Amino acid sequence: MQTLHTLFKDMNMPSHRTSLVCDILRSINILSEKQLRRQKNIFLFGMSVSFMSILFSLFFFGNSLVQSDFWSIFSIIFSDISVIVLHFSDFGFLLLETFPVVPLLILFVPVFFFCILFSLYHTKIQSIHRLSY
Amino acid sequence: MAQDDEKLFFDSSSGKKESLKQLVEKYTTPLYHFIFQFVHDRQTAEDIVQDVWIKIWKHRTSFDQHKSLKTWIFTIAKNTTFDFLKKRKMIPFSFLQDEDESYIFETSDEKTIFPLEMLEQEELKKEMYAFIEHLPESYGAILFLAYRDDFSLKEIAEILDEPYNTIKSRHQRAIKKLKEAILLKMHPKGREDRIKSKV
Repeated sequence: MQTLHTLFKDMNMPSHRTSLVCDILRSINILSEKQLRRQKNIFLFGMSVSFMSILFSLFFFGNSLVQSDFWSIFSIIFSDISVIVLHFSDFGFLLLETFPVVPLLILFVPVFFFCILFSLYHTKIQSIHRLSY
Repeated sequence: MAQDDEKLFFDSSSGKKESLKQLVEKYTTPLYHFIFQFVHDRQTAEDIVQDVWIKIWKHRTSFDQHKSLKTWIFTIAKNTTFDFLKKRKMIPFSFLQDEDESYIFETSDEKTIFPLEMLEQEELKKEMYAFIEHLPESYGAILFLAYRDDFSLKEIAEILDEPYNTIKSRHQRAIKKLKEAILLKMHPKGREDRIKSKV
């Protein structure tokens, strides 16, 4: 039995060219590749900036870290471990008091960003290999 | 069915090329017919369909999982088409004019409006598109969405961004106008007689 639904579905309509679907898929492919490449470049740029910051902080704060009181006290571990065992709590407090918070933060913030960007970059590289419409 | 489409959509978003291909193959023709209703040009309709798919792909992460994918796709198609028409200053007039909301039939059952013997005519099948083409764009679009793409009136209201009552009233008007056009084609003499008798 004919209904409006069947009438509309059976209607002769102008049709699009057969290659339209292929063209659409090709356009999406180009677009997604472009997006992924742009994101990949942003991550690469971020990683380079983080790496430069790590070098910069090592150059300016590395020396102060090595020559700090913290490091001198910490190095006792390698020379006089028996003394440390006897005065363990004093040693711990001393380490805490001399802990170089600012130089370590300055060093670890770019390292942290570098690690995050590296993992995102790795994910994007995998996506580029997987996405190929 | 709709859930299958949504699965295809999410699979394609996560990189399954076969899912995207299936989705594009399924919706390209209905989208093309929907857009063609407004632009009446094959090349332009094809270009807009391509733009629609690119927009869908670009905004794939903004799709609300609780909504219908089909409605979302057609809403993007409508917006893209209207943006194109706005640029060309060709916005269909029938979409801007105010509707008389009081003009709403109590029933929307097609069988009560279209007698069965009218629907059974083979000739009607052949000329249906010509009848629709002569209706205002808004009427044609509603009829297409309702009877060809199986959208509910509520979904059509969402796609065309119009109040439900406006769509309901337009749907009834469209059916009435379509019936008139078909009657005029089928019985031109009878119509003339009726007009004459009124005069």
